[in-house]
Amino acid sequence: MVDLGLLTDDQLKAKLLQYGVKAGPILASTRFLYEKKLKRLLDSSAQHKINGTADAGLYSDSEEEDDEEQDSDEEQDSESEQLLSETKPRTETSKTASRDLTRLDKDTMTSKSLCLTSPSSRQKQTIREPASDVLSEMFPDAERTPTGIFATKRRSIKGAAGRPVQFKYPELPLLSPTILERQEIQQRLVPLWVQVIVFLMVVCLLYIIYSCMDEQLSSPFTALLDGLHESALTCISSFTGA
Amino acid sequence: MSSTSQKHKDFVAEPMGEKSVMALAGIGEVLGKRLEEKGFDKAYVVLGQFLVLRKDEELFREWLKDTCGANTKQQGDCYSCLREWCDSFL
Repeated sequence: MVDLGLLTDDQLKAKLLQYGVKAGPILASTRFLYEKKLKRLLDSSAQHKINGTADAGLYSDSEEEDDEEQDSDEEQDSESEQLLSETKPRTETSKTASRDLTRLDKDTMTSKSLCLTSPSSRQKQTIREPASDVLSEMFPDAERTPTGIFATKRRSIKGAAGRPVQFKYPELPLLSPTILERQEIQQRLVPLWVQVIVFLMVVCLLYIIYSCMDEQLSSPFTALLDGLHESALTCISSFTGA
Repeated sequence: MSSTSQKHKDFVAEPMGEKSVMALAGIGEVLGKRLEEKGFDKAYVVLGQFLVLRKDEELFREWLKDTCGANTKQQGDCYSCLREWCDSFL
């Protein structure tokens, strides 16, 4: 490993930036701390590497055999997405560390990737399966759409247009004050017929009084009216006589 | 989290001026002496170090531990004290 003590301040700062650490001024009082921090980051990323994570898998794609070349092209894109989604829950430093490390690895360790192809391909598969199956596990009944977007119908809101509360709650007696008023009015409607009959009788009487007048209208209806008038008069005379 | 001590409240209440490093929360006589030996005789010098480390908690705690041997609690007290002071006065 590179001796951190031999790095210049700028180099140390640049290295820390590679790991996503925005270092302050590298002074006499701070230098030691930053060296320690960088050392810790290097050790942790080395741990990452040794455990054979998918990071190595990314770069073994380029060294893979012909059989897996076709698959690797497809897998690379999905893998990078997975990696991004997987690394999201991890802390920022480790995420950038792994990404940066892979960049370093690509430059320096192409031979190493050959050794790692077999475990990485296995790991690749295992990593791939859970990521793609998550959605299908969650929604086993859903059909696959071309865009991968699933839209489900929203539950209807109670009391919205077309779904009034009445239908939602049919068991309620629905004794609202307006309904009670209407019932009261209906009770009053019964004598309304009596009122109509009385009104008609009054109209008839008025007709008779009008016909008693001397004026006579020359219209075709007068004959009819005269006939009615005579019949009404006879009725009244019979009633008054009896 | 944990309640702040009287020392913390006193320190955070006003500009530190020329207060001694022992006025910092978490820094007692022993730690204060060690800091003074290293050249951090005033609170503002420790503040300077805190600011140079860009107010980073992890680095400042580590620095405190390395410089004067503060334990976790003392580190935390000092860090929160300085951070609050900076929030109010910086």
